[in-house]
Amino acid sequence: MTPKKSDAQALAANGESAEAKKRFWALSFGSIGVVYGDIGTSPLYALREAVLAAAGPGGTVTAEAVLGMLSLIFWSLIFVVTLKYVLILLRADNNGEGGTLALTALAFRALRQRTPFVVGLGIVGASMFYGSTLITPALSVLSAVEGLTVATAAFAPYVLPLTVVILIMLFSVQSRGTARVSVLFAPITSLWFLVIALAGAVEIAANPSVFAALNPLYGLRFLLTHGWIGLITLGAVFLVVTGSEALYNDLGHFGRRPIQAAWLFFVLPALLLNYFGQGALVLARPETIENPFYLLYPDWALYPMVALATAATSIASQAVITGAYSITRQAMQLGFLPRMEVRHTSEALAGQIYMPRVNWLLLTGVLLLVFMFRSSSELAAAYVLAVATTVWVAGVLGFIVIWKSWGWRLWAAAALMAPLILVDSTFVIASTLKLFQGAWLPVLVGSALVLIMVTWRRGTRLLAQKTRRVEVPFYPLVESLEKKPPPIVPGTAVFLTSDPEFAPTALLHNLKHNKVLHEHNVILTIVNEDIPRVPLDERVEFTSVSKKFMQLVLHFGFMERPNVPKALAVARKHGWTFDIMSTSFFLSRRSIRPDPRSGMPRWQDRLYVFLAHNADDASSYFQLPTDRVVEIGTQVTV
Amino acid sequence: MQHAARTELAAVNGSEESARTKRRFWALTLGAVGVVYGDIGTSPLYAVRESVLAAAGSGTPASQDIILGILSLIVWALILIVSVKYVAILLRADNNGEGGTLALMALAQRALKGRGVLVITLGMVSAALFYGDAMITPALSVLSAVEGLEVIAPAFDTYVVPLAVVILFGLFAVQSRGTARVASWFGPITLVWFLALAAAGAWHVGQNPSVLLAFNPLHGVNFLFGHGVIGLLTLGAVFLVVTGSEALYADLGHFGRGPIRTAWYFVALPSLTINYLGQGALLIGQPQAIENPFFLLYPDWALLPMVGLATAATVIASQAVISGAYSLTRQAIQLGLLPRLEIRHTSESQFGQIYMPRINTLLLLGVLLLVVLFRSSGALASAYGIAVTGTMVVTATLALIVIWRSWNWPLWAAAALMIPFLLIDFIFLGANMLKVFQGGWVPLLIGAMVMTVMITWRKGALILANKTRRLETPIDSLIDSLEKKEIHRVPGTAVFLTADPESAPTALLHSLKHYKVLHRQNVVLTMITETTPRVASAERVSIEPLGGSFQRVLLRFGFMETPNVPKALGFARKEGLSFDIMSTSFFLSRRSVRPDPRSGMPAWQDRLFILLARNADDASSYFQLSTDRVVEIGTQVAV
Repeated sequence: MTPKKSDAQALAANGESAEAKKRFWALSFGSIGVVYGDIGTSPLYALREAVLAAAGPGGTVTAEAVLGMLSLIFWSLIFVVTLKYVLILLRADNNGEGGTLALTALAFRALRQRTPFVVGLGIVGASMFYGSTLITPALSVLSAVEGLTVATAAFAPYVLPLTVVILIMLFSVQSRGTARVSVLFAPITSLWFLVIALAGAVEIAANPSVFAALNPLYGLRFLLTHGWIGLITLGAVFLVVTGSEALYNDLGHFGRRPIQAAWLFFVLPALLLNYFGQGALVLARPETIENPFYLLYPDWALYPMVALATAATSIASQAVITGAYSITRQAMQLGFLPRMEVRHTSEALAGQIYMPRVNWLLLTGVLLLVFMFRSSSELAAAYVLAVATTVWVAGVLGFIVIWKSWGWRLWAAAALMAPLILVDSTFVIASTLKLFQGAWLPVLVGSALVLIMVTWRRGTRLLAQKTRRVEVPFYPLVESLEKKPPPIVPGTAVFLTSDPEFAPTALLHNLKHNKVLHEHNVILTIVNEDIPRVPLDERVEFTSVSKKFMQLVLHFGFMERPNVPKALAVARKHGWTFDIMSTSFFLSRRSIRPDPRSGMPRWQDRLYVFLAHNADDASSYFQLPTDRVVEIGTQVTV
Repeated sequence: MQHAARTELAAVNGSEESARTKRRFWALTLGAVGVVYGDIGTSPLYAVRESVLAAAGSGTPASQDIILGILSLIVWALILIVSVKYVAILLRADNNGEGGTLALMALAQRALKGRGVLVITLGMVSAALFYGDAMITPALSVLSAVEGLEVIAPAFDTYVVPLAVVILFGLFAVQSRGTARVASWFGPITLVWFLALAAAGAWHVGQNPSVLLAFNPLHGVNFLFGHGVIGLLTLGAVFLVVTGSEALYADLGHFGRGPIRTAWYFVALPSLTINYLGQGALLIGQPQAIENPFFLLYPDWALLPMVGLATAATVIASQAVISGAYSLTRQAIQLGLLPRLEIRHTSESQFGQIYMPRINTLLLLGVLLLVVLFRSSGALASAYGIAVTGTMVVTATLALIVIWRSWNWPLWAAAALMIPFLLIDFIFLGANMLKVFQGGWVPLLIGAMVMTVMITWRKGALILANKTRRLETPIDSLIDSLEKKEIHRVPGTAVFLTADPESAPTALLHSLKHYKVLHRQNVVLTMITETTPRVASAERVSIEPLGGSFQRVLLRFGFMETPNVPKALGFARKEGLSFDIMSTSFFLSRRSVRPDPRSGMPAWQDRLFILLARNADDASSYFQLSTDRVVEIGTQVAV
């Protein structure tokens, strides 16, 4: 993450203004591809869903409904995205990182404690984010491919298989890293925005009266006079702001100003032109509500547009997938989730990662969604609740941070955020109406994740309490061993441990159960650095503690596969001779057993054991010769 | 299970107390009606509707010819496939009283004396397909029963899927409590179900006796040849009437041959035939009844009770499939096709009553997914046939091998007996293959996944065994050489837990290699789980000196007991084993598997194997050793 922070700093502090300007526009351009892909593909379905919801089942599309919807769409983009996210929340960064979890971390710091309320908000926000992560790729790819049915209805049976193929391809290339293709993202997405803006502008020119919708009264009147239907349509209108969460999540990658500039000067105008263009089209020809996005284009442009839309939605899905990796990693670091394998796919960027487990779970979930819902209209219902909840959580956390961390007065913070939170709450309430039409799904996924995260936190805390009792500080132990040495056996013992301050449990076990000490004992710690590769002469740090004990720290970069025997050969130059044939490597391992008397109910014990059991185990990658390795396991109960 | 089954059989066949034997026989027969025939007994809910729709399409009413043709196919499928192939022939091929494809596979392996990748592959294919079946059966049958509500009032339409989900959830949730207590109701309820089937069928047949012409096979043959591809498609749907016939072979071990046969010939076969004919008679009279020919057999006042009864019957049928999945999994584990999974015994009196938490959860997930994905029994029915036909082809092939090699028939006689059945099975398989894109991919996908798991597990276990064999040393020769050598002794007792009392525990080898020490007293401890529920405390412990400072201790526990090693060792003290728990360390050997790019399997298979190995049940979790006296010594092995 560090390199990115320096990007942003470079922009702010650097004096070489020409260079800085070029960098600024490059970042701004880049952000269009990654950050705005999701929100940029909402025009594919958002207006259609909103107007259809406003007309009611089987109802006719009236000018009043269209103008009302356009007005609501316009003001949602202004309030939720521009004001709340772009102008306010982007300022709340945690060391340059953004997103719900970064906001949670900020709130922790501001409140100087981990209050259950904030923990709860963070967990709900993160799990709902996963819920929406599942839906975005399914929904946007489906809606793009559905463009084929506008060309001819004969394509209808191929929409589903084609979508599945595209999605599987998208997820299987993740492991290769996306750095190489990602240079194409920004140009393609920019082209997308230009094309949709152009089509919209042409249609508006033919029917400029749609601009009446800029007047918020149209929206308000529609909402207030339609009661129940009004609330339902609000849920559909919210589709236009889905994806705004991404511009905050990716703050760390691009920096605040490039993201702001791209939104205000390019993305927002293009989106508005397109929505109003679709509105003008539907006003003129109500029957085009079948698919107002694609019908903006002449027939000859349909196939190229379907291809472009597919590319844009793939890019949008790509951004969501990357976001899922990075939020998972943050959740791991905050102790919400067990350790999972993280692979780095790029030498240049520490943030380019790939997480196999997350990838396959996402793919399974996305394919299931596609098979269950089968059309973008059905899926849209499921989408809104998840996103609206995430947005609401960000609003509430933002309020806490503005009040406690930025040192605003309570009334000032409330005056700023309360209206926005109110808007968000309306959206959440409106979308719960769809609970039985599919919105139960993200809720289910979200609550399963909440369950996992709560269990993991509780279990880890119980475990820490139990192990703290048996931990022994290292240095006093060495002293007492030097004074009263147990029987000494020949050979070298290398103990791997993550915390050199405490005696490794494997060593304690040797003393307790086998009552012996080796001639030479090495306490080995492996440190992963934030740089891709560590130069050879900085690899090894070596301290002699006593005649029998030494401490050794090995440094590896994130692109290196730690090869311990090789690194130890380097250590030989530091004067420590070792013979691999008389050396035993001891790994300490904890195997966790459920204990009925502990603080958690049985099913939670078992879930925790299962999670811990399948957590990533770092020592698999150290390339130690298997016949010289002993794993010493301690049983711990939770 | 084998013991229990054999004693049951012995009791049935050989005893003189004939009155008791007789009562037992009828009790077993009633039990078989509930467990074995629940699945095949609930096929009338959808089989006729699907067949007629396949033959005539949903718009046009089916002619009398078509209906007679279908009825004739149904009747002869019941006679040829179920009565002759399964009941008359296959029930004779048991492996120590056990039936089912895996038992047949074991028989065939023995007959071919170990050779035969083909036999193992066939066994794996059928086992893999069975899991697909075990997911589809509960989903399909519960859905079709609940759909009866739509017949009562179309407004219930929206509640069908949620209700089915709730019922299935409840069904899987109670599995852990064991089903022994409720199981006594299964037989009577299913018997009532069969009687209700027969009664309604007989009434409609009475009104239109011309359907009895369906016993003439020519009607079926004419229909098949006269309708081309449609005929084949219809055959795929007709096949639904025999789904579930595998169960009567798989449950052979639980009930014995006699009761299963009696229940078929005197209860299941007659009432099924009468009911199918009755549905046919109804359709000839009122073609619009195709909407739901089963429930429309009944007068309005009987509808709600019938939906209730049908739900009960389908729940029982699903229960049978779930129990079948448990016992198949256990056989697969014993044959080394699947990793060890936790098995819990839920009944003191029956060794066969088990519960497997993992399998239960996986099945539940699969079933719920299917319900949510397909949403109606009509859609799911097209997913059904492939798995069952596949299993049948495998069973017939294996049976051919067993009849030829194990029963020592001449090849031509065995072929003459089985080839016609194989042919029929292949026709059905072909007919079902037409439905691959409508849903047939589901069992194929599930089967492929299970297959991948089994192949990977076998291959990985083989590689692992090859690698570890080098490390194994017989314990006797190790002790000899240790006693001769001067080796540093540390005070205290070391207890090494091992599964194989003949070879040296790896934990012991590791302490010698890496610590170069030996404890004053060493115990090699092996636990044996007996097939009896409990072991008398006098028989719990046996101790055998191995020379020097070594002793071998065997602890026996019954399958209902939770092994408590410290307590059992307390008994051992009376037998002369002196030890102090405070100076005793328990060493468990553990293997942690690492991927090795140079080994025989590709990387993804390495990873899959490791995932399986890591999640395999590890027996030592339940020994109730105090955690601070336990050391787990892990060896790394690369596959």
